[in-house]
Amino acid sequence: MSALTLSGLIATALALAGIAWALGLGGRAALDRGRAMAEAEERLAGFAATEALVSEDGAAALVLGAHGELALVKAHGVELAVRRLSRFAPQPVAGGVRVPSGERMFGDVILKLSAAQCERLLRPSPESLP
Amino acid sequence: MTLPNPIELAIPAFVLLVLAEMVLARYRDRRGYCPRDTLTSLSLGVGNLAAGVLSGGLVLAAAVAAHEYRLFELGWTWWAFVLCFVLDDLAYYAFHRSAHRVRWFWASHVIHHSSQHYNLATALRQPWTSFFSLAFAFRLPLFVLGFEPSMVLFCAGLNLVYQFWIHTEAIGRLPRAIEAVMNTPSHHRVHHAVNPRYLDRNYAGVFIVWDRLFGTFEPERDDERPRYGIIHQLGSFSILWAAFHEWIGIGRDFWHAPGWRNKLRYLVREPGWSHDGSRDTTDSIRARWLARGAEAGK
Repeated sequence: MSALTLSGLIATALALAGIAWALGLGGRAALDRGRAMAEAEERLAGFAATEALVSEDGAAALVLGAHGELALVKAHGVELAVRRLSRFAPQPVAGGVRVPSGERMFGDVILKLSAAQCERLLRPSPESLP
Repeated sequence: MTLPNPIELAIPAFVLLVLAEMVLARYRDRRGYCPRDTLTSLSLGVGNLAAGVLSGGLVLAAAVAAHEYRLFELGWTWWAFVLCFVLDDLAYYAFHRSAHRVRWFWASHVIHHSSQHYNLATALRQPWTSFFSLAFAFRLPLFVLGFEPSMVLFCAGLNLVYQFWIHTEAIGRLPRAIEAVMNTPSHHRVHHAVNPRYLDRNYAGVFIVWDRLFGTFEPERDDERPRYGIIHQLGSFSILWAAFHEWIGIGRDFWHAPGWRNKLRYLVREPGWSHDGSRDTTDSIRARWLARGAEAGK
């Protein structure tokens, strides 16, 4: 494979992704309470969701399990990705709370919440979701 | 005899068909394609071709070396071509099943499954480390049998080209006779799904008969739509992470595992296996799902 062929293939890949964007394909998944809970239960073996706190923009959610465990759900393009949180260490940010997933490549997730919800979530060991 | 590389010849058709499927998605369901996911898939496809060039010489050398010990002189007859294509597909089945059941092999193959979309761009989402995973070893028996190396490599290329068009949701089910014998979009959707019912099923390349024969066939159901991807969804569009994440996982597990026996098991046991049983494998997920079904049926 010559450098020219390789360049042509890379250009083609970029062009096709650009066409997908220009055609308005994709978008972002929108979460609600029911979908966040269902997703956590479907993706995490043995997880029984009891409550969910959904970001105001519908891009992420924190789901509480029956045994007190927490799951983090985020929009990944039009699909969703979920992680079981081994450590819950929320940090305050403007207009919400940042929840580290514990995995660098999965990243931190920002939940846009009301001031009261933020305050409750940032309390040490919240017994339930606000 | 010099034979062309079917994959290189098919690239223009691949591009045009991806484009056509995108236009179809524009009118049917815009969620069928995601630009960033598409870019990741196509970049992995380009990388796969580049990696193939780098390792191609070594694969050919291994093929020629194995052919030196051939049992038969099969030559360039038409029936040898047909037999080669069929047996190569059987070798592909063995490779593919192993690629889902042995973590060392899975570390490369997982790339192909790491998209949560199922479209023609996903078909091109191919591994960069196949040589390292010894994928070529599954075809060595064909050279030892006596098939010409270039004939086997040509058939292997045809096999991969065939598999391109079955990565689509645009085609429902084909006539019953075709679904009975050939791998189809419906059968392969099952293979890419993470629903417990569909896990580790339909490994076929071209002929679905291998799955029917070896007990790994599962039909697609109208009442259970496949959900695509991997158990532990990446949650990232990073090309490099998609290409190497499982190798990094193997490295971490190998490093932290207690004792050499466990270290070795992290290389050769099924994906998800852990020395303390703290993780899920496809078997444990399926068993739990079956138990839940049995419980509900009481």
